[in-house]
Amino acid sequence: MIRLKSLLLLIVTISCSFLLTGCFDFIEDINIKSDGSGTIKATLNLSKSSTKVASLMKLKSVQGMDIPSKEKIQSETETMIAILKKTEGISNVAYSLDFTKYIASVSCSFSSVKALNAFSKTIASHFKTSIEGSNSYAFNAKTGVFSRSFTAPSKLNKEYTKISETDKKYFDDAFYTQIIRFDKTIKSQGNKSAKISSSSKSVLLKLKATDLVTGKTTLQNTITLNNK
Amino acid sequence: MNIRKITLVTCIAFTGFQVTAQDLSTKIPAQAKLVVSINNKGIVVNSSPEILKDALINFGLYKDSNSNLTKGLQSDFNLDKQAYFYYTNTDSIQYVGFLAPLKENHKIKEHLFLDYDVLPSSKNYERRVSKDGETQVAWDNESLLILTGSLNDDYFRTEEISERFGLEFVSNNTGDWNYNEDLAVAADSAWATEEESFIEEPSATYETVYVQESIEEPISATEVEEAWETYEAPYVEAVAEAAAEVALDATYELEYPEVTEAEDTSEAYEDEWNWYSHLLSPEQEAKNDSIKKELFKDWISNDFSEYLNPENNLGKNSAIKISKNNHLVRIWVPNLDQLYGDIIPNEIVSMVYNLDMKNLKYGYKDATLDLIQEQYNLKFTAKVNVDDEMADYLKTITKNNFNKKLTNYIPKDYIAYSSLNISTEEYLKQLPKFITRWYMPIVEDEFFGIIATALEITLDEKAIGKVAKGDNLLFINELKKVTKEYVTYDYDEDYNYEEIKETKEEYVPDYLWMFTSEDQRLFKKILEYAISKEQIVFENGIYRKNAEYNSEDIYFLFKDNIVFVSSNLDQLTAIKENRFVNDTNANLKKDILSNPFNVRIKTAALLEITTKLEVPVSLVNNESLETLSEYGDIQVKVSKMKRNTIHSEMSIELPKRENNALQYILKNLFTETNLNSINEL
Repeated sequence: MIRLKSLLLLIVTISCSFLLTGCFDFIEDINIKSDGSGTIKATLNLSKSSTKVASLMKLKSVQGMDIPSKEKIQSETETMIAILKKTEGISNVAYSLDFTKYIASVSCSFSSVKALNAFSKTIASHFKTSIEGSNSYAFNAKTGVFSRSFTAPSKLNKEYTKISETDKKYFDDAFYTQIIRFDKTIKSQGNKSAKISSSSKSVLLKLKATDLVTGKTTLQNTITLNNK
Repeated sequence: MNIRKITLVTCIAFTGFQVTAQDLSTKIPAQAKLVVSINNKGIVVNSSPEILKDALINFGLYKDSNSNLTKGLQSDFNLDKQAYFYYTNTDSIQYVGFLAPLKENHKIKEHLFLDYDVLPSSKNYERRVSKDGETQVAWDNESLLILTGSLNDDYFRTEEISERFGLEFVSNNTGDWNYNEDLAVAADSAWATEEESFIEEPSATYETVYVQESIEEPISATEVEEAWETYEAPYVEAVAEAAAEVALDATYELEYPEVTEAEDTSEAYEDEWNWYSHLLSPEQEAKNDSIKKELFKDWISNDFSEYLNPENNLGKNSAIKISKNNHLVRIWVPNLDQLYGDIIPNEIVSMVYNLDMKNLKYGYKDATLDLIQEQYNLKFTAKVNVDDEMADYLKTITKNNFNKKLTNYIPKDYIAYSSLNISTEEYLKQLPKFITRWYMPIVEDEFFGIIATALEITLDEKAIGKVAKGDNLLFINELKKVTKEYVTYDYDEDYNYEEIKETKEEYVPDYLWMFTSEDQRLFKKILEYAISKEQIVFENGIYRKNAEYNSEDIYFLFKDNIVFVSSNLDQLTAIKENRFVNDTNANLKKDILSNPFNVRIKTAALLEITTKLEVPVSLVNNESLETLSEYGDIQVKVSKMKRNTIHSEMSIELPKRENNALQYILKNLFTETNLNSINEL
């Protein structure tokens, strides 16, 4: 995914450290052109849990789990953006952090899927994650096949299993949404949870975050475009 | 002897059953800086040997109930007398002693300290010493003394003392810090190039030989005392030299940190920098530790006989003796200021904050803290005597009369409340004096004297006292349901999306804060200004500060000479229209009017609050939460000064599942699960 998987991991880690802020939406919106270039916008929306997030952010830690401060989040985001800007093939980097509604977003253009993968690796390295090997994008402009691999981060799953059953219900309103748009129509897609739009140019995959973390569902997909 | 073992002995001591005459307070040295009296009889009467035993098993101290140790302990200790812990401290050494009453025909010898070395008996006392020499034990027919302790590291942090005992010394003065040039260059290089580099530190290998021989000719405590006083006694020097020799001969297996990655070099550099600057090297530390260990062993060995039968003791001190069965434990501190000064790491505070905390004298004198059980109520009371100056200060600022009208607005369904009654006028009048007496000595800066004088000249205490008298009353009301807005997304057929706003209901706690103000002009002017800036709205006699995104409106009301601030419009409207339904609890009003400080929390309401606020149960113990509904209120109150004494009390009413509070704690809170949870924290 568009290797903003690393970004996702950062953001999910931050939101995880808000231990059960519960409701959140993560939206990954990708536009891919026939030549493999495109844009991506990733948005984390915690506004439905804003009261709880605001309360938790007043604490330094909860049960040993560090709660990042506004300044820390700002600083980490700026570091990430700086890395992003230096990544070859990445341009038009923009971001916004709204600490009133608790919505954060990052967007950029990429010259090729390879650039996104490189970006992802850089970010993963910076944040000391190890997801780059199990999550990557590939796009063959000639055959019109777009694919992504995905393995649920085991660390998140491990953390999630530690949470009590009562508390897990607070995650019921947490969703991961991925939208991938093409400038050609889609011939087929391989994820049973995904839907193709009426124009046949977009794929929507909306999953419960808990199902994704526990491996019940996956982001893995192979999308074949019509070569017209 | 470790703390766990001492605890075991202490706890087991509760299960004895015999009366003897003499109180052990005559065995507590007069210089004790803290004494803990344990009312064995009261504890057993209020619980039972079986319950105590179960609690001890859960506590992990009573694993083998069939062992000689366990069997013997049950019959060795005397229940009818108090057991004591005490703490002494000099500039160089501190001791913790435990005194337990024994039955006349006890068999301690067969049950305890079997792995200790036997020392020659002395004056009817059987003597033992731990293998490491750091715990001394002795008993006779009626009592047991366990003495252990440690050296005060601060004492050895001067060049003079270090030299005297042959210790390695490194100044804390940053001007004397050493600088490891190789590491600095390497780190700079690593940062500059962001390339991998490799730094090799010299490594040294030594073998360690620990000191096993003690000084062959022990000397008397008096001699040691003299040695301490003069720092020139040959004995002390002999100890130091002997230990130093062994330490120097010792070989150590040491490794310097190995730096292999460029990105790690800077961190290693920082570590090394500190290491080489204000810390000793490992071999120096090892040498010092070895010397100090020997010193401690010999000092405690020589002090022990004095501690066994202290000539100057607390035998006539009634403050440490518990006379009531429901007073379970008492902590007595003869000089709170001094103890506080001992506990504060003066050197570190001085280095970091440049404050001389040794000069901080609050004026606290002796303090007595009691753990009291009144059926299901558990109280922790404190009485602290202060010097005349402090007493005058506290009496002056707390002589404020609480405005009785405030107690006409006590909400019926409050979850918690707090009241504070400190005279603003008197506080401001006393502030310069307070700064001069308490803070100037620790900052040692005349500038604070200027501030104190400036405050004295410029503040119109009387006028400010009219703006806010100093009586405050805060209630946290029941949770109220509010509508919150949030952002979500609406998708079209092609999965383009736009932000839309939706609402959901949440619970938030609301509050009512009130205080007396005889001159409300300043508040009203500020609010009028805010109205002109459209930050505040004035409707029906109540000011409303518009809420920021997803926060709550704040309301202000001025009635009579009271200022009300609340997040609950209905409550303020009811107050304004004289239809507020007041809680008529007489005790509550009495507490508010008579005590300068109160806090009360309705524990039973916490379960509902955590549920409604959706506080994750993982954050709190689920089982504890469910039983909260059986608890009474938690209350903290500080009374007005009586003579020169401050009285405070914290109490909680425990569930009525057992015969009394102590039994409830032992049977329900000292469960294996709870103790494991505590250990995991």
